[in-house]
Amino acid sequence: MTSFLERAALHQTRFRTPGVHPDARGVVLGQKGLVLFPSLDRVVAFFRAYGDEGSLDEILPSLVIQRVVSALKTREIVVTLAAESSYRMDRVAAVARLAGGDVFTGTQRHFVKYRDATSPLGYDIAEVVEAKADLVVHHDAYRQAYNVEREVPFRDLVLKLSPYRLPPTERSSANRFFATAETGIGHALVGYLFRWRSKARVAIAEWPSASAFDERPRRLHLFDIEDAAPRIVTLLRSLPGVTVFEPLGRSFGVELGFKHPISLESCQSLFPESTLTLFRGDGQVVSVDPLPPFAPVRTLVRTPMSVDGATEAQAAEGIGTTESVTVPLRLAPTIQPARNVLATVIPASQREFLAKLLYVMPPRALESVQLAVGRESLYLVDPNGVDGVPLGRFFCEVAHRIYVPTGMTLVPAVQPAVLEDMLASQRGNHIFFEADGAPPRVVPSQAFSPLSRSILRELAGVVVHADMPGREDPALPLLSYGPELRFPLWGAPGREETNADPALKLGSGGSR
Amino acid sequence: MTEPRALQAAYDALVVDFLAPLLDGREVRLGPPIAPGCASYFAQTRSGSVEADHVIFEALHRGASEIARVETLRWPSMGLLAMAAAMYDVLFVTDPQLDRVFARAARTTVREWAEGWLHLVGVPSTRGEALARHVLVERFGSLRRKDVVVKNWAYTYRFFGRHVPANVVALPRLRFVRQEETIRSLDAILVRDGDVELARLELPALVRAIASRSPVTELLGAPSNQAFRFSAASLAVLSDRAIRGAVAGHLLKDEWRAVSVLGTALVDPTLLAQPMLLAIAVQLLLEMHLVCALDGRAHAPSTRDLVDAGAIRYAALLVATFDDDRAVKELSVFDDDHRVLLMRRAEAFRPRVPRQAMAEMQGLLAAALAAEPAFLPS
Repeated sequence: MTSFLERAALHQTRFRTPGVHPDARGVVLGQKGLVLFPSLDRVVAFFRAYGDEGSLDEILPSLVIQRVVSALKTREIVVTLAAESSYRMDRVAAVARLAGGDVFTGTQRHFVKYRDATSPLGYDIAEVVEAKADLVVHHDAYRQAYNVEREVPFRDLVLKLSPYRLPPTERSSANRFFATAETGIGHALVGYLFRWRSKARVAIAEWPSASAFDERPRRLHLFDIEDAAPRIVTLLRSLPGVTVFEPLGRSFGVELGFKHPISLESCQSLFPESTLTLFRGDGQVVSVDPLPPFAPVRTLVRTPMSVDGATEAQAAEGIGTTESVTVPLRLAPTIQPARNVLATVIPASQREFLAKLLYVMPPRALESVQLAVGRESLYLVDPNGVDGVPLGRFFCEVAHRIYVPTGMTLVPAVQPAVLEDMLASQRGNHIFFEADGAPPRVVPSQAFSPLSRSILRELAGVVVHADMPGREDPALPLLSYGPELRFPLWGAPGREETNADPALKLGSGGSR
Repeated sequence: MTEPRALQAAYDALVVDFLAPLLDGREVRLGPPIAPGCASYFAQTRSGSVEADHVIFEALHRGASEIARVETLRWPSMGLLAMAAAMYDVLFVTDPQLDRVFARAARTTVREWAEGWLHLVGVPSTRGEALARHVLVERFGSLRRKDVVVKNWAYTYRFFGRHVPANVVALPRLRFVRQEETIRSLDAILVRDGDVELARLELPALVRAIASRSPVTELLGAPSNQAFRFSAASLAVLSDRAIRGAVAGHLLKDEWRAVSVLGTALVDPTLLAQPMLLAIAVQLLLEMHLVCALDGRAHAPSTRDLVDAGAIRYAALLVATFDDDRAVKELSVFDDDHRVLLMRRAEAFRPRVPRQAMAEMQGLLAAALAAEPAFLPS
């Protein structure tokens, strides 16, 4: 304990520190809490930790971030907030210490170190010093006076931070998305979303020109998409000029696949509901204020119109109200060349042949071929074409994951979409129509796995130890004299050459 | 003129039988003494044993790398050879068998030869050379000698640093043979009780002179040397950033004892007269502050620490650094975190530093900054 501070005692009511008093628990507390950080990144770490565990909204009304400078011209960051209670301050102190900050409490200029394990009731100043400064902090290891250089608004801090990329495993699967699109691609997107019956709304956001040389104000299409299929989201993300955002609250969001350093959900009061703030992964912020009106995409799609009245005429003749007719779906031979030969069904008896074939298959085929092992047959599927496997009966894909034998076709010749709708209950699984007229076989998609992994036996590695070899310090040397001589200097080398060459005095032996 | 064959034999005795076992921790064997007249030949020749050269290089490199990063070092080098020859001759003089008629005079001659070898050793000019010398001196200091006294029923034999012949200890039961072995350190070898002639030769002073040819040893041994002063050689090696960092880290093992000596050496009049050299000494002390603060070794200084003028100067130097605008500007190269740590250390010192010491260090720092503006450790 140094002489800067004294420990507060239980029931102590008078303190030298101006503006502090004991609270109900006896902890020394001022009206404000102050956290001193050496740099801005520590401040961000503090808000990240605080926001992840609790709500920043509760401290935002009284939160002030200031950059201060000491008499020695070192700059530090001070975060001031209403202390309110020692419970709140305990939580602030715990998080601040984690982030490398020092915590103080006080009311106006003088702030004394907040309580810690050494002094559970807090501290009092040993002596008040007069300093011409905006604030003076009293720590048990130092005492420092600071002048406020400038204030850093918390909203500005949040807007300046760049989101970081999330690993795929941590990405959430939201149902609602915001998307921004450049005006050139916006109308095409409206049509696309309408065609796939997406529940989407669209608006146009406009910003004034940044400079007098811009031709026109900047415009963006804003989409609010609900229940979007994953493929639509994937497509949108891959389109240049389109950015997809995941909404975190009602009026703010972060680009899909990214996360803002500070937990934005915990500081919703920063984003009024009449605005929309979107954080892009490259650090840019799209701020729309005020929010423009949104309209459903179906109201904006360009509908072709006919003027000959044909639609009304057809309705008048009663077309479209026919009786229902059902016919069975059958396989029939066809002379059409085989297309999309993506699967082969190999009898289980030829399994050994398949195993031998593995040794000659190219790596690319091994990588893409999927295998499902059934009781009677092996099912091989390769999205790139299975022609390279000269085994079994080949199948063509006539609709998504629906296969018929090569040289045959389904009659009636229905559209693939109709087939998919008919087999909607098996969506995702692979369906094989057999030539013998038996009902189609359904192979669950989970049964398929990469061919190499299904066939190869497990590998067992032998652990090789590569630790650093043991190193021993050399032993202490032992002195041993030579044989005893009657005249020790007789025959001593160099005795006749009395003077050494002065040029040899080079220290590092550069003469060698 | 000595025959080349004899000179080569002397070189091999020095390198193969003395230096390689000394560095490798084996038995060091001494032959006839070596006069400095051999230096011209030694500068041109090579050892006949590749293995001995390999052992020496590896031991020097390994020992040097433990202190500071070193790419390579030069072996053989004349500086190291001359130091080794001086050590060789000093050890030759310690042979108790020389304390007899016709041999005593040889001691004085060989001592002069050792001094002659030392005159050939200059200031190390590379980092590797400086570190290698330290390794050599350190190994020399760890040398021991086994003294054996053999007694039987009739006689007593003494074998100091020599092997006991088999016939002396034969039939131990019949002849009541008893052996006493004593391991003596180098200090005990250099001064033997009752040997006035050996004491007159002042071998410890000669060994200190050998050690003084290794500036790194001189610096690392500063905490235990109250008479320490910054020599030209030690300041020359301190101008190397890697060695300076290594020395600072080593001295911080006993920070306040070291700075007590270094703080006193800082105001040596000969040093103050040369601001360029003063700047290097100041760099060392500031580097110690920096390493101490950033490694988290710092603790709140107590009155117990700042007991003498040297320690107070050390503390005042850091405070004065933060009071000097030019130095503060130099400090801006550090991260905010690091600068704040240093600043807090300075603020902790400030109340305990007398005004007079502050003024002294401010003047000293100004002189150092004027001589070397970009002097702060980075």
